[in-house]
Amino acid sequence: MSQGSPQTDDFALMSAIAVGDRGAISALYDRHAPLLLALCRRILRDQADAEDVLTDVFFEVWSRADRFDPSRGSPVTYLVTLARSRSIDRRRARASRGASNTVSADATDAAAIASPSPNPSQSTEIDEQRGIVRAALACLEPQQREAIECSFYEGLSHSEIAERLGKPLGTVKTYIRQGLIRLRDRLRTPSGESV
Amino acid sequence: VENLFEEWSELTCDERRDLMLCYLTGVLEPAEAQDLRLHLAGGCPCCAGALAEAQATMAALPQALDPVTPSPATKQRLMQRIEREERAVAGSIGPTSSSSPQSDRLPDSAPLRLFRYFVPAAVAAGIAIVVTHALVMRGVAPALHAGDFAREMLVQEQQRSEQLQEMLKRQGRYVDMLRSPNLKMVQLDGAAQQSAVARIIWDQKTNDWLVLADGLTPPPPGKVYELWYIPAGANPVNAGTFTVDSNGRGTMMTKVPANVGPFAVAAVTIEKAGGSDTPTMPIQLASKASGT
Repeated sequence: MSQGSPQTDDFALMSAIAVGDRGAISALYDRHAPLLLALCRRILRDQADAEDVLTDVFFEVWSRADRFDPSRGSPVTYLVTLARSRSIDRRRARASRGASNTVSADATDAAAIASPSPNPSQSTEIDEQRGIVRAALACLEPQQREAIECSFYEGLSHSEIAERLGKPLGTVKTYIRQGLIRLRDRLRTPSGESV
Repeated sequence: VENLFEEWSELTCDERRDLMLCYLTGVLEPAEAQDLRLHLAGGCPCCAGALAEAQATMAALPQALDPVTPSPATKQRLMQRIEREERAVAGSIGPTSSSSPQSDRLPDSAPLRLFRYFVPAAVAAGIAIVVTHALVMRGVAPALHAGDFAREMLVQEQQRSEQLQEMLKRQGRYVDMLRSPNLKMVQLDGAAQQSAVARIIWDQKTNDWLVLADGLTPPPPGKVYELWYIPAGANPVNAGTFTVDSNGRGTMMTKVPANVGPFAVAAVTIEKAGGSDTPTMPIQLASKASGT
């Protein structure tokens, strides 16, 4: 694999996966599994479930490589979208079976037990990106951030979030819409691209 | 089913841009989401850019979390699963059965019937690849020196071989899916086409749908059949298009659209090639309304 930018490498890995290169799916996993597992854990609040979904996501990337369209976004966007969607599906399925969450509902739980990325060469860039996103989130009003987290990490609808937060539906819609717009504007780089 | 299809008021592109983020998180009202889908399908470059920007914003959010290193066993499971899939695609097709007590899952014999549906085609494709390879290696390759005609033949044979390999890979995926213990079957009966029928084999774990249609009239030129996923109380969602052969048989694999609500009805209509964003009456096939 040539030494390009991480994004270029991701595109090259996806191309290699599309032609059945097992080394490429292994490399993609090594690069992004820690981020995706953090996301799955945050949504599912259960380590075993999160690791199951993580496996499903990478297996789907492997077996449905033709579904990735590079003209529609980056590989990491694709991976995050898949991981979030599959985790929320599992969370809903679990809820419909009446299973209780097995891990503390504390939103900081995942961060509390997180371990560092296994690849030190990527850590500086990852740390920098994490700093940018955290700073953008910190600029939101607390209610906006809470409403967005309910939506993004739990897949709740406007009305479910309104019930959760004890706020009128219209107020919640405004929180989410204005918060997401502010987040988008904060994450946009000077060249107009998102982080 | 018809009363689920309604028309919605238009928004401006500026308004849509701000709604794009809410659309991706799945909190939009059905009418707003439908408007966005229709508008994006119309090819608006401004909104396509806004969608990509919103997707990148959404993908950035998890970067605020500290990464969590998976256990080594997780990667091992993934690689073993990939290896199993490769073996299955290579043709190591074994019997399977469902021992689930749930009544709505496929009976034991159904997956075996479905295997019979796919295995002959998969085997035929495999034989064709071998024959093609033999032709290329023994017959056509020496003729390369004979000039452009032979080279053109070689290119055509290689393309044919690639198509057959792709077909074999696709059918391997069907067979792999049919091994799942989480299968449910949804039947679509003829509405406008009384003698037609389709069955959706639904893997409720991966949310894959394998659609097998039979007895459908081949669609008019420039038209295809389109499958609709209709969530309870929401708008129909395009679940993919397919066509049928001269015997009225069609096959399609698709995935249940994410974040669109619980399944209520599936339906099939005839649409323009490439598919539509809203169903065109009359409905050709439809399932009975049901919950998940």
